[in-house]
Amino acid sequence: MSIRNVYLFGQGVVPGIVIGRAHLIQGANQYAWTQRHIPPEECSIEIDRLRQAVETSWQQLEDIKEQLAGDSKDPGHILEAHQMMLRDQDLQSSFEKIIVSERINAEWAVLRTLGAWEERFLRIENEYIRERFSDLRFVCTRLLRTLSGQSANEVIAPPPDAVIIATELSPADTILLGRNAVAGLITVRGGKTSHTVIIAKAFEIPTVVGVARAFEHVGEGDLVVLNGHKGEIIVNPDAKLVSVYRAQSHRMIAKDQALLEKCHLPGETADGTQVRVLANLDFADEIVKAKGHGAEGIGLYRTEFLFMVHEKDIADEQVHFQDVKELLERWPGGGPVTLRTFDLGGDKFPLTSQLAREANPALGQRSLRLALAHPHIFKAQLRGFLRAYALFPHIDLRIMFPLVASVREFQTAREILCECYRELSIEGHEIPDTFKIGAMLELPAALMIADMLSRECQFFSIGSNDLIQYALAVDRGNEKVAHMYRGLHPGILRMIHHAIRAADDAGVDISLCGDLATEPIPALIMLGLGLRSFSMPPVFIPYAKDFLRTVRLAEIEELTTHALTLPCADDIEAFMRASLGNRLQDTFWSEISEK
Amino acid sequence: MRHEIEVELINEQGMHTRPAKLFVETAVKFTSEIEVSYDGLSANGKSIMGLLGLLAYRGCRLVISATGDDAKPAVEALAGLVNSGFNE
Repeated sequence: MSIRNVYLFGQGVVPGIVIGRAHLIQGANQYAWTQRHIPPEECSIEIDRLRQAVETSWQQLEDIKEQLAGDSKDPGHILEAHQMMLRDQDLQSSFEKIIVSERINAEWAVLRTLGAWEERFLRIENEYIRERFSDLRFVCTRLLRTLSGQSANEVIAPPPDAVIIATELSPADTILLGRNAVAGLITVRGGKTSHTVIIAKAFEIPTVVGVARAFEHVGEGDLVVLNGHKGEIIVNPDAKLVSVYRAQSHRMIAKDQALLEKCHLPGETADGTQVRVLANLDFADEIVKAKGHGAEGIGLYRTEFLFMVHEKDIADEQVHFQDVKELLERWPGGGPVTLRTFDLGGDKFPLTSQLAREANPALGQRSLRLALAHPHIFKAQLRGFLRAYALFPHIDLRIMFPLVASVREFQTAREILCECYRELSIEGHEIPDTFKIGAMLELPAALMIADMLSRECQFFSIGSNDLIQYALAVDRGNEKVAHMYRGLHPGILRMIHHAIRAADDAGVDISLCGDLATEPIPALIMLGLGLRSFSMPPVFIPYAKDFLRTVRLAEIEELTTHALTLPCADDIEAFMRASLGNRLQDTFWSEISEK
Repeated sequence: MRHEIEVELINEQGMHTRPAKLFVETAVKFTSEIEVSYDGLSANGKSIMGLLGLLAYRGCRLVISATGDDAKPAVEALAGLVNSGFNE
């Protein structure tokens, strides 16, 4: 009889409550695999098992490659490298040598070899080299799965409603799981910004990451409650807890249903102030969901994933063209579609292929700086954007540069865009010149010169995540200072206020696309500061629209005016909480957005 | 017949998975035995794990040597690949 009601905690990164059966995807965790000594005469049996497992695993990757054929996010070249590793002679002979010399079974030999490589890789200071170890780990994990008799299909197509427990998930695995309707994801590794999280958000799979002891406490088939709002896991809950969570989950589903029915109403406050609610997207096929959730436009289309999975074709204009074409052909028109040029580097995408090691990547050559330093890569993307736009000239297309620091930098980027436009025109493409060019305001200095930038830019989008990090000098991934990462810091509010006023004075459209738009109190303050356009992951849109209908603008403006006189984020939050009272408690929005 | 040449890794990520894969894909087109050495270590140029195990990053100098009938074209093709920055 298993122990009841074991609570585990991690970081809730995608909201939602699910109850399901655990399906373990083993990482190369040395405790999870059978390890035994073998008599000498069994060495050849183990070597044969291993050789067979190599071929089976190779074939599994081949099958995944076939499944992904024609997919615009085809990670085929990564899988090919993994196949090459599987059949590698050096690796094979080190496995076999260990089996014979140590008299251990195949699983143990794989783990021993992996351990030796890990030691070697992790000694190196160069983070790009160190990261390559994860490829070997994915390969050995697959080999171990095969040796233990799990088929590729079990891994890629888990039972319906399974809650996946994994050490970490490769980008390819996460995409495949997302397409297979798993109920929830729990990973041992990974922070808020890992690949798993970004993909899980896109597929709306409730997810908790950083659950350090998941494998010690969860067994295959255990009943698991996953609360993605609170980052809480309950293993083998008793009947009473199950019914509590089932009821809560049903209430949320019912509320979701009711909200989804109303989500196509225009965004507005109780007194009729129009508020535009837009969607943040990572993949072209999410646009269907964005429409279904009531998005009035696309406020942010990220293009980083293309770079992650198309390492090889990073400068291939056709890849960008195809991706944006797929996005635009699904969009019915009637709202902006905002494409952001690549925002790589810093902490966000450790597996992407760019830049040499920097002592301080967050302050280094990232994002637009990287684009301007590699104009051929930048131009390939811009040309792809423009060629796709030529096919859908009726769409309100916007091209946005991230991390703009100065007027000159924006002008330089815009000039490259104009150069692409001219070149394409000469090559015979007919591209309308009605698209807009704008900047993301995410550096404190950029917000403070919003008035100057407004003479150059046709729209702004405030990126609150980087803004807070840079303005408060806080890395929210660092647990020692994460509590100081506060969007309601009066200094942040003043900067945003300044930018909104500058944009209004110049008649330039301004929106907000960071996490601040996804939490009710900050979003209301933004409204009070004059913001009329918000962009957020589609899952939040029905909640945001519903909540906006419960407040009057005059009231929010009054509250905001007072909030701006308070000295600390905590004071502002407490004041807003007390003033909004039940309305805040009644909205599921605060429940789903509380981290 | 033996040929060798010294090259510098100029691509940003050094000998990571994709360059190693491209190197092996080129190396296996030749019948010669191919060895890559760096920092006192040497690896079989037809083994992706061997190449990754060199832990070579940008700016490192590698010696590529080939022994066999097509040693010269093999070394030239591989040096060309490295010098192109693996087309990154």
